[in-house]
Amino acid sequence: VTDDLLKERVRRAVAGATPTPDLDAVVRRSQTLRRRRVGAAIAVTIALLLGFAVPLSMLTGLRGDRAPVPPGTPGPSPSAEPTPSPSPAPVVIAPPSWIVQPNPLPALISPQIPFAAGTYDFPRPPLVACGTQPALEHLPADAVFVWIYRYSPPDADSADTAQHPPWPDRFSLDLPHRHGDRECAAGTGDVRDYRFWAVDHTVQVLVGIGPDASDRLLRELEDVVSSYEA
Amino acid sequence: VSVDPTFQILYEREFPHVMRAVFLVSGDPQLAEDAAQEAFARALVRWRRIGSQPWVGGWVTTTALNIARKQLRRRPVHVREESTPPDDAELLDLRGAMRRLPARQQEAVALHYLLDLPVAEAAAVMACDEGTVKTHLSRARRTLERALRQNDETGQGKSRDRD
Repeated sequence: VTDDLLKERVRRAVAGATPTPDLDAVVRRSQTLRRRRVGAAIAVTIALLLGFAVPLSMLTGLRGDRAPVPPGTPGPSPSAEPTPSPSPAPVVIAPPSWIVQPNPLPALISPQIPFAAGTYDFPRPPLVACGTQPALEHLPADAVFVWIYRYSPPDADSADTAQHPPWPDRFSLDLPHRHGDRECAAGTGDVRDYRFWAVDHTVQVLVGIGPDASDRLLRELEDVVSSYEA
Repeated sequence: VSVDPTFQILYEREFPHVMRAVFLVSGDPQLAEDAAQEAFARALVRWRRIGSQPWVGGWVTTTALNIARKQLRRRPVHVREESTPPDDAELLDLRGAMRRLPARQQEAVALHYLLDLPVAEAAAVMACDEGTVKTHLSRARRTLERALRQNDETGQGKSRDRD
C-alpha cells in the first residue's frame, strides 16, 4: 500500500460526510465561552481574595476583643513572682533643648560609648576613629558637648587606673581633669578630659565648652553627666 | 454577526477538513460536526493570540479531535454509522482501524493524509519533532495497511463464493 493510495483511501473513507458550516453558531458559542472565561477569572480572583482575607480576619480575631483583665488577676505565667525585666541600658537625663545620642558608635566594641550629648546639632554619626573630633570642631561658641568612653576592662594606657578618683556621686566641672590636648581632642578649644574609676572599668568624660557658654549650660552639663550611672 | 474576516476565511476553508478528520476517527457525523464547531468557537475566543499562526488550522483539527475523543469516552454505547451514505466494507474497516489507533497516531494521520500538512507542519501542531510524527505515521500506516489487506482478502473470498 503506497502513501498515495493510503491518502486516497482515507479521503474516500470520509467523503460521505457532508459538513454543514454554520458560522453564526460558532460565533454564538464563542461568546458563551468568553462569558464563561470571564466568570471563571472573577471566581478565581474572589477565591484568591478570600484565601487571603479569611486567614487575615482569623488572625485579627485572635488579636482583638479580649475582655479586660481585672486588677489582681494572676497572669498566665507559671512563676509565682514576676521576673523583673533586665535593667535598661544606662541613659542620661537631659533638658529638652539638649540632643542626646545613645550608643553613637554601636560597631565599636571597645571602648563602649554609652552616649554623646550636646546643646547643638553635633555631627552624627561621628567618624569611627576620633568620633569626638568633628563634634568638637563644630562646637558653637555658646554651646557645650559631652561624650563618655567606658573602658572595660580598664584601658591599656590607664596603668594608673587605681589612681583615678572614683565615679562621683555628682559630677562637677571643677573635678581634677586634663586639658584635651590629646588624640581626638587636640586643637578644638576648651576641651576637658576627666577620668574615673568605677568598680571594674574606667570612665572617660570628654567635655567641650564653647567660650560663650552660659553658666546655666554648664550646670546643665554637670546634671547630665551626673545622671549617668557608671 | 460581525466576525474577523481572517477567521471567516479560515472557517470556510478548513471546516470541511476538520469535520471530516473527526468523522474519520469517530465515525459519527453529528459528533464530528459538533466537535468541529466547538473547536472553531474556541479558536475564535483565542483568535487575537493564534490567528496569525501558520499552524492555526492544525490547532483547530487537533482540538476538535480531542473534543470528539472526550465525547466518545462518555458514550457507553457504540454509535452505529447509520447517518452516512452506504459505505463499502473497505471504508468501514478503514474507519474502524482508524478508531482503534492511539490518539497521537490518529492526529498524525488526520493532519498528514487528510489536511495534507507536510510532516514539519504536523510536528509543529503536535508540538513534537518531525521524527516522532514520522514514527506515528509509520505505525499508523502498518495498522491501516493490515486493515485494508484483510478487507481485500475477505472481499476476494466473498467474490469467489459468489462465483
